[in-house]
Amino acid sequence: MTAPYLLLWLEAPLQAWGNDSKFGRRDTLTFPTKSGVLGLICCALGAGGEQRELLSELSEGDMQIVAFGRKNSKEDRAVRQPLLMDFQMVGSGYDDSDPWQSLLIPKTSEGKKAVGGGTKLTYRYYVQDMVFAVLLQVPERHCANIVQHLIAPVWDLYLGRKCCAPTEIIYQGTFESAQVAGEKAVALATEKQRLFSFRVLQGEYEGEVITLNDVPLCFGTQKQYRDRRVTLQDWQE
Amino acid sequence: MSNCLNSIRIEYHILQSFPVTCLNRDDVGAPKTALVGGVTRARVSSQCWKRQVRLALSELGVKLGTRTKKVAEFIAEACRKMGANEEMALACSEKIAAYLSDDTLLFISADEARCLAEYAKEQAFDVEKIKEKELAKVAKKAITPALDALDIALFGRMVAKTAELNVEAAASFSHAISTHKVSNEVEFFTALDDLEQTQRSAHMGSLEFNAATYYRYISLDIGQLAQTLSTKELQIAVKAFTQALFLAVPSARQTTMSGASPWDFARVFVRKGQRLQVPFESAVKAENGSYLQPSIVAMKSWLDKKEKLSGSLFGKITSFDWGEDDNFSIDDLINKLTNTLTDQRVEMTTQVLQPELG
Repeated sequence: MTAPYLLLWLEAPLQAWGNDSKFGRRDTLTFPTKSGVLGLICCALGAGGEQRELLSELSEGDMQIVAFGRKNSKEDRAVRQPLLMDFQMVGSGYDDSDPWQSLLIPKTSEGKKAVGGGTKLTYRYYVQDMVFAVLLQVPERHCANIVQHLIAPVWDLYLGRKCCAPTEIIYQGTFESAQVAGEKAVALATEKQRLFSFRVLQGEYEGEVITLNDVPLCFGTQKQYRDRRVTLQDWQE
Repeated sequence: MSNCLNSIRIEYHILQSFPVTCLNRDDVGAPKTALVGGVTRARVSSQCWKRQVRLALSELGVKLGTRTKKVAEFIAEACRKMGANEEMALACSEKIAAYLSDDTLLFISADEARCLAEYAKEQAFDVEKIKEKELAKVAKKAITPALDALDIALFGRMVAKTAELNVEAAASFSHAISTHKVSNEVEFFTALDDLEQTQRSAHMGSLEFNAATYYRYISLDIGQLAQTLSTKELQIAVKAFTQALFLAVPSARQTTMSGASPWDFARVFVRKGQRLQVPFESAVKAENGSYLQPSIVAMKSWLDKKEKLSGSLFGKITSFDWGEDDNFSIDDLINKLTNTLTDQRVEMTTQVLQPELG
């Protein structure tokens, strides 16, 4: 038997799927990354650290995404909301004479006080009000274990960023092909009055082909990724 | 039996109404918002409320880990207690401290210092015998952010230099989002100059604000906590955390728009299934001038329905409603929660033991 597909339903008011940001501006793609989805699986399994072996097995499979938006009241088209920008000041307003509070203020790399107090301005971006059906192919020998842990995860599951708690059960079934999983996704979306917005296929097809550096080779403190080509299609076949 | 509480979490679903306030501002000073279900909602970011909870915990007198640059002195003291003489204690502690941190502050618990000192004792406090590799192992085992460092256990710890000492946070917060549509209002104001003779304002400005019933979702990973805390410590952790959740309110504009509203309603679950927050996808409409009552109804019915539909996969152990029965105080809620966790621990322990006995 070929590797089965899991249907993962990612729904929350806010989601964040960053693939290249560092420092103060935390960007997000408009759809889930492969590293984000595999990270979620690792969370469910309670698999911390580098996980090179597990990742090399999991990242081989196919991953397709179908994005569903909310129905526009005027036209019969899904609305895509703009990204939400969340502004945060890190380390402001603490009393630096209190040893405990002083620690919450960012310091220079030498551990000294930063010029101007150390408050950092950060910008975090979020996808708002979207639903993603992720069709993830997993090796058959891992399938049952992953499913069991998605249902009762070891660590809390989140959609890209820890504050993005899901509003729907993530695991929605195991299917023998992407097509059957996709049909189930469409049925779920219809039930929820969501409309097709776009989809992302792994590999090069007709549509907008882009390169993402989001295939995780290794998690842990020194994360490593490799590239993959994906195709964005804003039509349904 | 550290893993018997694995994947159990406490989920807090809280409704809390605030009058005219600006609890959390964006970069232009307007209250934060988000789009949910196609309409604008008021929002307080997760990090904003979490910060207040953390500060509240410290005010509640929860014993915190020691954050210090004087790691060596801290460990030397532990060595002395183990019977090292002054010279040995200093030499060993300096070697250990050098491994743990540079000149940065380290967040360390007394328990960890004790374990490290114990290792030094095993080596007869001989500096030459203290090996970095062994030290790493001891340090890793000694990560017991126990009673004397609850905030490490709850909010995590990052030690850049020694990754093995990192602790994942057990608590996670969602952005608090209003259950209903909100439009930010603009308050125009003028201020007068007391010494100015002519009638004119000395300053004009505007403030944005809103009023909202927020839905807050917080989950506490008990499995994570149970790895390092004993039953009694776990109870104290849950108690302190729940109290802090109850007391903490975002601080922005509190001097001008004081909004000290407590919880209105909460449903608290103890369960094993995947975490779930309530979407409030269709914005709640006010009834009799109140968003609260319809929000409570909407939240209860969504959670009830989800629980029924998910069946055993919901993994519910128990749940408590707070806010409608006057005789069920926050103290009662805390007692119920801690008792449930103790019962779970006892029950799971016997379950695990039985097959061995059989």
